[in-house]
Amino acid sequence: MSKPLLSVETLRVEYEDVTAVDDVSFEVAAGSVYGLIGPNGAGKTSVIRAVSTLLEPTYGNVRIADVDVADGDRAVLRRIGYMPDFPPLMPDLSVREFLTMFASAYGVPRSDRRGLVESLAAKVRLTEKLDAETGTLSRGMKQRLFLAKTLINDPEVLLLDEPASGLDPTARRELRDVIVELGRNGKAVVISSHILSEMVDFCDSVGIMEAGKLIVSGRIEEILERVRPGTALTIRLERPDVRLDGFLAARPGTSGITSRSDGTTLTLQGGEPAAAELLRALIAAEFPVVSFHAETGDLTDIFFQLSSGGVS
Amino acid sequence: MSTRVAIRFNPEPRVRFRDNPILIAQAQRRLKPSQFIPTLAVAGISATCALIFAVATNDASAPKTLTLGYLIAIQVALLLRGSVSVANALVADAASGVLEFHRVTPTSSPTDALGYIFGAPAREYLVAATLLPFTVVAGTWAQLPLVPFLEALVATATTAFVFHAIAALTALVAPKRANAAAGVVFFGITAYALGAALSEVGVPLLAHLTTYPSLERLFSDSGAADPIVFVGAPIPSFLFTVAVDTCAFGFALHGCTRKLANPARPATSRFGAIGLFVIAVVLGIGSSWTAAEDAVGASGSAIVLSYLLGSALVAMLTSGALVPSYLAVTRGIRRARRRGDHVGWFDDQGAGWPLALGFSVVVSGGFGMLAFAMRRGFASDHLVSMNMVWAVLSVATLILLLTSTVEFLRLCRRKSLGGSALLIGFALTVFPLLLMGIFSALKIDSAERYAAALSPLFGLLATAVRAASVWSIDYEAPPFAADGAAVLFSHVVAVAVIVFFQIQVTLVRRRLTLSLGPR
Repeated sequence: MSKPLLSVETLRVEYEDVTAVDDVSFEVAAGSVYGLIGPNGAGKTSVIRAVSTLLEPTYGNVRIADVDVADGDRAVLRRIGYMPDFPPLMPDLSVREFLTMFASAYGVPRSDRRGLVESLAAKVRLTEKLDAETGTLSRGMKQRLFLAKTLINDPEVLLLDEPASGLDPTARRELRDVIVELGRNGKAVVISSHILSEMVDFCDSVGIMEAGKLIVSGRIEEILERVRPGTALTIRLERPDVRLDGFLAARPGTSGITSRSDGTTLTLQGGEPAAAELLRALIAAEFPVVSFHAETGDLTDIFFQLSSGGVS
Repeated sequence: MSTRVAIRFNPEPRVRFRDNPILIAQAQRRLKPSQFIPTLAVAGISATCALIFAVATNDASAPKTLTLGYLIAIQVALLLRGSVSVANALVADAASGVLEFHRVTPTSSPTDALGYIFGAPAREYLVAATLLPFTVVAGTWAQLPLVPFLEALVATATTAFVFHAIAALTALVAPKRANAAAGVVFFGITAYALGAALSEVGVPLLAHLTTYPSLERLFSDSGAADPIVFVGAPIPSFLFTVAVDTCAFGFALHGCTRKLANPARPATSRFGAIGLFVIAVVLGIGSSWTAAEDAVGASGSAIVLSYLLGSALVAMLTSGALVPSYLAVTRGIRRARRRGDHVGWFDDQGAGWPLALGFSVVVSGGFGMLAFAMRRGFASDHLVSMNMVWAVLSVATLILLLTSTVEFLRLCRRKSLGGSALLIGFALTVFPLLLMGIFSALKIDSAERYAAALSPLFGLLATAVRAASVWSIDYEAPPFAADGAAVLFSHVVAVAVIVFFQIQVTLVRRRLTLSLGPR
């Protein structure tokens, strides 16, 4: 991993009676999209609010490219873009007025604001709505407008809290495209969600949170390898062959062999080379293989293996 | 996807008034043509009709009445409607979360505060601007003296700024639309009604937060202004209004700035609270100098008692409100650790006793100032006397006791705060009275007095009455020996409770400091 753009170290966030976040550490490199997954109340929003400086941690550090956000230098705020789950708008301002207000707030010179606002509106496909009042926009449009607001300062670190909640499938796909592109453009993106399917689309790294703690954090394939060593294979033959279970059991690195009517499943150590070798051996032993499928596993597997559930 | 333009950023100044993003956005919100044109039309047509009516009646008093009417209309628009607009704008933005976004932009919180204070009442400024030419015409027709007329207009503007800043602070402290609007209206009515009443008895401070003195001066038959006698020296009343408004605006802006930067912080720093208290005491006593000098007998006693009890109450409430919560203390210790420092005495998260001591010094200093102003009315004692010393000590004890109690409850009993507060309140106030009743029924007089003295309130009331008796011609203070021991006992009880609470609080702070480690 390249040098992290965002670094969260031993973060603890407490409210009067509750520890919302406890000892959370993770790093996000430039160009990486990091997903914070967990059920409602897991502490995802508190982490994002602490990183965005809206919440003062009880303990721990948040650094944006080696600058500690708690040092009070407001210039660091230009490097952060924060989008909450329910983006607040001022309903009686037009889209143009709303974006211009934030362009001014971030110190964009007056002469540059019009061009910037129009380019951002085009980016989120709201050009036709520039003079419409924000209160008249649909939910998806509001979300896109807020994304434009979040990008107004061209932030290096983007913090998106449940960005796709309430969006229809089309709007969700559009949002995914924008976020993936932002990652490609070198931004460090943190997205929180309790919807696993969203995260599969967005993220290359994840952190799974439960009850304020980060259970696991890292690149998806690394976590998969860590939590489930070995590849899950499903083999189906043209017709049942009583030799198969014995043959597989005799091979090195196999375990958990289970035969059912729809095929035989097993776990194989050694990754893809071992799987290729096993397939070659099966064919050489004249097993009538019609299907040889390696289950790579996904976020759902990781989540349910590591946590007690609670996400959709 | 379109190409992004390269973004440049201006450095952010500490305060931005020109090109203030919130001010512009709020003005844009309030000045939508579909909304403000009807408002201006109503104001303009009404003002024209009033002018035509006044000319048609041809009454001698019509020009003055008309000018007063226009000024009142401007003030209703600016002070009342404008303040409600400020409160509503902040409440709405706090509820929707927009305030949080201003907090994570590089604009400073003074910039944000000024944006709301001057931007949200944009429509009301426009209404005032519409009515202003009518006011000038009516004022000229009424042949009102120019200087008081201009002073009334300036006072209207400065009072509006104060009201708007207080409305913003109210909305940030009590972020519910109904609370904020009610708070603004309550403040306005109190300032005008109570200010005028107090002004009549020689205490003009509150009235100078309003336009009342300037209007009174403008429409007085002589047209001449009674100067304010401030600490014995006459100063123009208008200047005093501007000074009071400046202090009030500064304090409200300070509060707004802090709450906008971090809503979890108290609205004022400790220095800010003590500073405001000093200013209020100095301006209050200083401007009431003539009344204080003239006070003799019962009125002198009443003034001293009112000051001692009133200022002690305000100091206790403010000091208690500024005692930090457990979480705030934790964060404060962490912040101090990060700077390689300790939490300072006057930091928001510092121990309560320096704050209480600061307030005690101000109350005592004010008492000294008041006693000096009233020195001609001394009937039976001197300024520096045992009674005075006891009065000062009891005020300090009581402020320290309340602050320590709140600190103990917040840091050591935070999980059972309500129950513990009830028990401590009962033990320190009601229980001694019950005990006193029992001893009284048993006719044990000496025990009765000591039972009452278990309550620290006994010490304060007894010593305040003794101090006030200095100005009472008819009343001779009882010799110290009569109830001095009970008063002393009351103070000993209070000090023992304070010491116990402070030990507990110190232990919690020490434990927190150790648990947070070196960073």
